[in-house]
Amino acid sequence: MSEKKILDNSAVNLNRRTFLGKSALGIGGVALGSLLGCNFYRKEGELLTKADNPMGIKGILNSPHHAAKIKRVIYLFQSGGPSHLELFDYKPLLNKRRGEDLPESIRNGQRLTGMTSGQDKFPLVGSQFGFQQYGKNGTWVSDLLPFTAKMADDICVVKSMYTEAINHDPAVTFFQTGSQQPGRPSIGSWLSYGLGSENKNLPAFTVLLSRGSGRPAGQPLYTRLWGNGFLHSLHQGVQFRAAKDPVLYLNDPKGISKATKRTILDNLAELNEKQYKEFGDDEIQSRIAQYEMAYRMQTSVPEVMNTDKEPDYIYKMYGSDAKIPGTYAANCLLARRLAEQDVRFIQLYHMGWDQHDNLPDAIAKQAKDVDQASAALIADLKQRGMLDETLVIWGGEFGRTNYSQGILTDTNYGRDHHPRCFSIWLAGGGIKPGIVYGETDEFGYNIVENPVHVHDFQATLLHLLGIDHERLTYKYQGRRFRLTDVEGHVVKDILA
Amino acid sequence: MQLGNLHPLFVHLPIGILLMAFLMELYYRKKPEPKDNGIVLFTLGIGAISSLLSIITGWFLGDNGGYDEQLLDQHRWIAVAFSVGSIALFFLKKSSANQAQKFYLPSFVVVLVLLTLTGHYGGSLTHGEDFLFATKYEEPVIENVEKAAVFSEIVQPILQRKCVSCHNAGKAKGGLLLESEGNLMAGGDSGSLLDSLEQEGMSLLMHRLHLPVENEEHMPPKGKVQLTSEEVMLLEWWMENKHCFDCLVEDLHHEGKLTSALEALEKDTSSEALLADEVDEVPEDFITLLSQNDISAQLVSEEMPLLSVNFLKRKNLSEADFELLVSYKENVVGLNLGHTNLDDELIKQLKPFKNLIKLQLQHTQITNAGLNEIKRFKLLESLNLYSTEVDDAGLDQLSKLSKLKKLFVWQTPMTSEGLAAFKEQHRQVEIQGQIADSVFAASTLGPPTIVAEHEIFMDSIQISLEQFFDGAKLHYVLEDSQNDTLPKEYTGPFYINETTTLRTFATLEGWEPSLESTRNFLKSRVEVDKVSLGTTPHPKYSGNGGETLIDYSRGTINFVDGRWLGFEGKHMTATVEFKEPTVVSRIAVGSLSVPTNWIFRPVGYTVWGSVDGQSYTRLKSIDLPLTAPSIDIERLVYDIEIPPTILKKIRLRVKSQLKNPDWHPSPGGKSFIFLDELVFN
Repeated sequence: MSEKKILDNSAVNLNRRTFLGKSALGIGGVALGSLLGCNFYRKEGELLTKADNPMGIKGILNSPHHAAKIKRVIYLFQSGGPSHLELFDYKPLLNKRRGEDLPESIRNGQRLTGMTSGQDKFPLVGSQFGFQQYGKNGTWVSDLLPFTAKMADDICVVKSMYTEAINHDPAVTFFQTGSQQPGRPSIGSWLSYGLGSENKNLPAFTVLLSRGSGRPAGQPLYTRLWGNGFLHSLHQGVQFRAAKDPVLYLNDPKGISKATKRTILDNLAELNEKQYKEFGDDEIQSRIAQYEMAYRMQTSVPEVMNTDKEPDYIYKMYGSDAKIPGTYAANCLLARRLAEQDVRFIQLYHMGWDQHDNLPDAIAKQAKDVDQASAALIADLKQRGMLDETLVIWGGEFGRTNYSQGILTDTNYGRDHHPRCFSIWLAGGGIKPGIVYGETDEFGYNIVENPVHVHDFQATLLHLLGIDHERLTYKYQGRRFRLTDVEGHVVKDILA
Repeated sequence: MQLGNLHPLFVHLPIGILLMAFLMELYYRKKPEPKDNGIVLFTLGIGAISSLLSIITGWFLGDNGGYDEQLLDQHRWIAVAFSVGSIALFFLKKSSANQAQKFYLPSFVVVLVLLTLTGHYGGSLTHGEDFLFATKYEEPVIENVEKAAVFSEIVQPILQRKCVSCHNAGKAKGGLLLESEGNLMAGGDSGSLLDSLEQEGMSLLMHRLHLPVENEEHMPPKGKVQLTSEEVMLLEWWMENKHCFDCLVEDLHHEGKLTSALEALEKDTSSEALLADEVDEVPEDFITLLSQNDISAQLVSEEMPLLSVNFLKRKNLSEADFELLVSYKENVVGLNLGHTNLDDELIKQLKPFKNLIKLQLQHTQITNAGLNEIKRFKLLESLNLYSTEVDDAGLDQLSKLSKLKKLFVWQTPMTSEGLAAFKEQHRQVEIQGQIADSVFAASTLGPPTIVAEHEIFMDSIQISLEQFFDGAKLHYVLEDSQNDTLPKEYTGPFYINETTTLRTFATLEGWEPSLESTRNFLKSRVEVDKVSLGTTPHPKYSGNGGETLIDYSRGTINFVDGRWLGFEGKHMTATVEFKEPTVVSRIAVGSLSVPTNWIFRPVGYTVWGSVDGQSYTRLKSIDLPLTAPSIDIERLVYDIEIPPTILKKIRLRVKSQLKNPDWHPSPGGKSFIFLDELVFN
């Protein structure tokens, strides 16, 4: 190939997006762009190579907007929609009026899912499980959660959450990305983008999954729930699995020594660097950084995942399930270990909360899966002096209906999805401990006091991390996007 | 750079130089000899040039806007006059004409007066009118806005900032004063200020504020510093609440943006905020430098150039690391030294960091001696000593930390008496030790894991029990035909050779005993050669074909585990061929019921036997009632007894109810039967 031809080719070797972006700026832009390695077109912030950033991912914010209350978040996501009526929202009226039809004045036009819209009766049903009051403020907690109940003075129960979505995937996506449609970055990615990572050996955003014993074959979760959306792929969540290889494709193949690997990576980085100079695609930089991170994770991940040295009294707190990799309890213990390593956003998902039928049996199992370990996580963080700089969140994507889906028998019933009210709890730095916020009506169907929208929740979360939710934005497709879209108010009443 | 920005640089030159020239002039007039006027002329020349430079730069600066226009005009034109005067003065001095000599000194005085006026108006522009003599209005400091008085602490300061400079006892423009409640109530020449105007639907006060800036009646007038939108919002809120003069913020309803505006008025009196006003900015390069040395430093916020520093659990800290940090020692308010190699020697490096508010020393080698270095940190609010060797004597070192609020002491040698005594003297300190044992006292041991190759076996099978915790005792009961129900303690793997139910549980000191785990072990006495299915299973649940039914491994309640055969909307028939003709008296059929997922238990079984492998006779037919309404998930084994017969082949038909029952959420849908195993005895 003649020299001229190579030069010509490098001018056409632009991907579609870069090409369109550049041609908009005119032919001069193309020439200048290829001369200068496209530095002019780099998106806001987000520069990183191993040379100029030895500390891993640097956030776009030089400092938080205001002083942060917390350094990290552990989000215990209860996927499937846990019933607020069996766990935190005590409604004796439903037991009194068991079997009666849901009054239209209460339903008030609420749209239903296809699963109960065909039902001709909506028989009210109360919790089959008892409730007691705990803590200084007399927080009502279900008998299903005896350990959580003991931590009542440390948690803030929000009974007035509401959402707009009525099905799982849009609802979870809404919570995680601020939009029901897929494609936006999730909370952890926004944080990685905004604040960067403190630990250069671990990603800023990690994900741990567990299956619930109440519904072992429940809905799957899409990996895009911890996706980076339009942000750099370096900000995506990294899933840690309960297996010999906690992070897939991390370990070297047999016969490859550490030194060989290093040489490979150095040479690869050199090639990629060349490629970057030629094409100017930011994703190449991102890829170099990811190779480097993966290399460091070869030692850091096994260290975090190996819980052999945790003493027995720690297992007594988290429950003996914590010995079984892949359980919720084991993941809670790992969450604490990741938090100790300064990982900024630790996302747990516990699946199986979707009790359309067989609710009493299934929810008891689900509650048993998560109760002790969630309480232990708070207690453990507390005694280590980490709770006041960590936010722990427990909650799902929506609540469940106050009427039975399917037949209501003496001992059995089910509940459909309910977006109008549900309960979550928060604990940790900056949160008023031991309070209950918001109130629902006697039917546990509508909010009557202090509603908290999903965007309000997100705004509050960012606020605690020192971020003004209106100011952490990313320009994409001609507009600035943010986690809270165009809404969201910080729920000041629950802030300490 | 804007040319106008040079104005402050030049303005002071003519003042000094011309005054100097005047003094020299007087000096040389008194002095008898020699009368050297050259130096005065030179000074006057420099003064004139500097006044010109000031005029030029000042002109640009004035055009940038943002100043009171009236005042600016006065300053500008007097300055022009002064400048012209100073140039004229130079030529008067230079001229030898008598006339000029006569005018020279009076002109000098006039120029100095102009100079004074220009300076005064210039000062008023930058520092405000009445800067020199007015008693300064002290803005109230609000610590908790909810308790603040709406008028005197919120409304009055706004009026003071933006209105009172014209509406005061001295000026009283429009006959209006805005310095007190009485003034506001009295109104001005245009009438009442606070009462609602009929045609506008709002008070004169709000009306004037809301008029377009171009309107002559708009207040503050064009060219004066305007109210911010928050200030207008706050005034409007006060007016909507009937301009209450005695209310507190908490008495009046407020929400959303208004609440934010109110909260923004609060003065942050935290140690961080106070420090932030005193310390220097931290350059970004410094933070980068730290990060290159494996020290993570984060600015506290945009407004607070304070640093929260994390040594990232490094085990190789040395004095050099602290020396690096010491250049911004005043800025460091948070220091995380947890899990590092910090010891009593290295902690001496902390001495200069006296502004520390949060200090984390957990999991380090420090002892009581180390605390000596930090006992005088006056601002320290949070101290983490978890997992250190600090004991009761160390607590005494902390008694001078008057701001201490949080102390973490888990896994230290401190005694509960020592801590109680400390708490007694320092009630404001929240001490966090170990979470009470009682919280997790009800922790239940996990049941033993039963390890066996299969649940179905031919001769005998080895079983072992496992538990995660060393020292746990495992107990088990075997319920077989001999009905041996005494629990035994597990010592090692054992064998069973009968159909048996194994129940086992574990105990361990300090834990609640585990729940039981049970497992049924089925003995199969007949070896099956092959199974051919007469019905095709659903492609999603086809397992390993007919083999699935005789592989000795049972399916779990997770019906997609590949160990089940699922049949949708049809009965199942299968033909089983034995290795050799065998006496068969019992057939066990494993099935599943998950009504939610449309899987129902079989409703009937029919068995045909064949002695020669060709012709079949019906041996047994059973019909079962339909499943009662229930959505419980169950794994079932159904035993079919047949008259003992020597058989070569068996044909089995398992009946499905075919359709979902009426009570099901989807009545009439094609229901499934799921089968996993056939055992012959």
